[in-house]
Amino acid sequence: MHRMFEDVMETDVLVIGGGLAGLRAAIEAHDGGVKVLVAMKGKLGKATAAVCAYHGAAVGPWCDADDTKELHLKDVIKCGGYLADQELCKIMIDELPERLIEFERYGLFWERNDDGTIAPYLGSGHSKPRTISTWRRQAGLSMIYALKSEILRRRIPVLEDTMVTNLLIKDGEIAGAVGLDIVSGKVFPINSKSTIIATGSHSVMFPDYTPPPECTGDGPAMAYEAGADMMNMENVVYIATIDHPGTWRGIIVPTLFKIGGDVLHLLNKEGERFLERYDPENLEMATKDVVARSTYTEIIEGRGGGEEGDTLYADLAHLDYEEANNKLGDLVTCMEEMGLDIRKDYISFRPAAHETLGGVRINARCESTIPGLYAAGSAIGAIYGNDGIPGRGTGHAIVFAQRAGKYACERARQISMPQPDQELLDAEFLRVVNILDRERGLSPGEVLKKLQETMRKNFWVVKNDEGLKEALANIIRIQQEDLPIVSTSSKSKRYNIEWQHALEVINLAKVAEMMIKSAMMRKETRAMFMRDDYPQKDNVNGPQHIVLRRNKNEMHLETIPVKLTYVQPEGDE
Amino acid sequence: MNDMGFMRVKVFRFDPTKDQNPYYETYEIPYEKDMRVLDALVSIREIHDCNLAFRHSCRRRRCGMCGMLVNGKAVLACHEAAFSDMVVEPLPKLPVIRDLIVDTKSYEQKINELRPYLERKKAETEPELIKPYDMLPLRQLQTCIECYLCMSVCPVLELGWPGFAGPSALVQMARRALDPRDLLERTAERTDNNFVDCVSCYSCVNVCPVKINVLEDAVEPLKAQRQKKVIGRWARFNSVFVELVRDRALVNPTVWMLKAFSIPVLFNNIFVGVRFLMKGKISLKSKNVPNIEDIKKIYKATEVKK
Repeated sequence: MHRMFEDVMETDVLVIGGGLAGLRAAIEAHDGGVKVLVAMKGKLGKATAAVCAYHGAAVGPWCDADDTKELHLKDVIKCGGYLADQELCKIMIDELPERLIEFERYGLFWERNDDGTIAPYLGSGHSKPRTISTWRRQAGLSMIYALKSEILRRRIPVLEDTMVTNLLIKDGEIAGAVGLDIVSGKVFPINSKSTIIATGSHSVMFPDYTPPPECTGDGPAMAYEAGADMMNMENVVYIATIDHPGTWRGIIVPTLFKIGGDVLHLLNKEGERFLERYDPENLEMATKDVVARSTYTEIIEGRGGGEEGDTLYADLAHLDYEEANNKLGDLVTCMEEMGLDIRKDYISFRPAAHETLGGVRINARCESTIPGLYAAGSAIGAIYGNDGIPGRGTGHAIVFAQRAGKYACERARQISMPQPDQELLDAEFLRVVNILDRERGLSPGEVLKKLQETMRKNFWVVKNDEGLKEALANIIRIQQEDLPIVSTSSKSKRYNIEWQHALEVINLAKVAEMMIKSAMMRKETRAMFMRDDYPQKDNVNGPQHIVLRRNKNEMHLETIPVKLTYVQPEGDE
Repeated sequence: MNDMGFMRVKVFRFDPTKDQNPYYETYEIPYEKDMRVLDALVSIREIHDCNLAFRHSCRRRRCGMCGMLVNGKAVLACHEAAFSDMVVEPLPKLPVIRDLIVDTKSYEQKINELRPYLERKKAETEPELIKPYDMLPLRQLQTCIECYLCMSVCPVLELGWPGFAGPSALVQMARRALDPRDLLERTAERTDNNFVDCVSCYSCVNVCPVKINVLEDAVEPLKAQRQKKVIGRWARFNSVFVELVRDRALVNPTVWMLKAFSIPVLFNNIFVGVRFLMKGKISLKSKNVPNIEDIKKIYKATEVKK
């Protein structure tokens, strides 16, 4: 006997996620002339990591005459430790200027020079000034509001407060998804011809993270379960963030650009500007991997301050106050609210997980390895390797979202509406509802804490085999012992946040397993990926992608060499 | 972290599908240095009740989702300092979805009615040249995060006058209307009183977490734009004000209202009028300014010639 659903939703293109990538993809698909539906966990224009993005970067009319796209491509690939998929990376660099300028059609306004031209500045890791932003370095917020206004103009329907719990399949192709409306507690199927995953990163598996708490890897977990290839899951960007209070542990202490000709200084407990030892040439303007590694080394070698010796200090005293307030608004306000004076006090910081760089493997049409499933944004893997050069986050989000929207729309125009397998639908319904029916067990928060502690202990900035083995054992134990008894304390179906958290922690545990297994496979140190048992690059095999997929109930991993089509490593890079 | 003892937090609880009435629950949580209200709520979730419902996302006042009342003051939980014995409640005037989460649909609708998007021609060469000076009025406006704190304190919105859009909506409107690239006619057309009813009380300015001067950067420029386009036609409220200053050198609110509003509007608001009268906010007695002729001379001397 099959369950009958009262309201089955139908759409040509389903976009899962309402961030920068999700909204951009929805607009593109809508303009292609098909019916689009966006499902997101938060509210439109709100629950997204992009609101905190500082800038975009591209070689456009605002750049020096001698700056070229080739140079930009080289910067990005070099910075990412040659782990970029160069075909895709080239597409990103080529299409970025158009994508960024396009935002001015949507009402955004890039900061200008007095003569009316766009004003670029130098971002760390770039060889030329090509980074652009809006007033007060709030490019992400402006971009999200520009896209939101276009969504409203086109009246594209958005299901807010809706978590997509799983994908639906028909004859090996994606046929839609199952949604949980967290406000009413209703579980319902959404049939779609094309489905775009734009769910963002999965940084919430670490205790300290910069993206919003909704970034729980739902997309990668669903895609993996459906059988899609995943790529370079082991990569995570670590970045310096404010140390306390907990709420602000996620506000970046940015060394990404200069403030009035100078950078903020990073100091250890002896007051020494420690980057002088690690990168005397670039100092704080070094790439993110250098900053992360030196921060980590300082703490490990006992030069950290604070009660547990796990914090370092940033000094803003030498910066012009107005400039600092304008460009580091978040940081300055937080310091002032804590009663610190930026002209003389230090702010303590420590490393946190920024963006995870692994995810669904896509081709140039943003197709995953399963027909009907597309991906964009932080949920995709290996576009620019494993370091975060400024402007790459917003960059790949908008370029590949536009492509995902375009090609998803193309497919939707060609096929008829699929009817998903009823068995799968019933099984998913039961899986979701059963969590609420369980009488007693572990709370999702407790399980998440355990998971986060494991990842913090054994999957932090520098890893080794022993730690990874321990982490894997812990994650497997969580999957086998804890997850089957996760239950909610309240049984109300009205905005039961624990219910959503329970589903999220299941996804996180799955993604954590993928990350750990990929990390065990990568026996080298490369850009942001660091191991103390393999402190060198693997120059014998050269740069390799690590691809994994579900093979029955086993996780199958393999390496494929990176095609060095456009940029080759020089010397010992 | 250095614990400095415990603190008590009183939190509004309500699940409309189960509870008959809202109630308050008091929790004891460890105090941490520089703790924010959001830290306290997360701590309650971890220690006492995993099901306490509240929204938060970015944790650095960019998403505008954690708006709530702390001791009656509208704040963003992510930036407000926590203190012992604080009372945390949902934003007022909106239906409660659960606990501290309110349904903001009515506000969103008000914004959507104002066509919150830029209607522009595609520039001939992109990117076009734009002088930063032309965009100055928009700078602060584009940092609005739609947290609706301003909406929750707006006294005019509370009156429920039809058509008044509310501060947050007017920021979104001004953001487009003041953009030199925008082609839509937004301020001249008379569909409702979406901004002329603002009483300039600065309540919205005082609560704005991203320091937008809603009044001086959004509402006043909108009024000025409308004044330029439709002088004398719809800006009755303002022109009567000018008339009163010119003729009597004194603005008597009663006379102002009687002259500015049409009879049906006056009739509809008769109870508000009576309330104001009883509280002594308006009076039926009219005062006269001595040496009115001298003041008229000043007015004449300073009048701007058209």
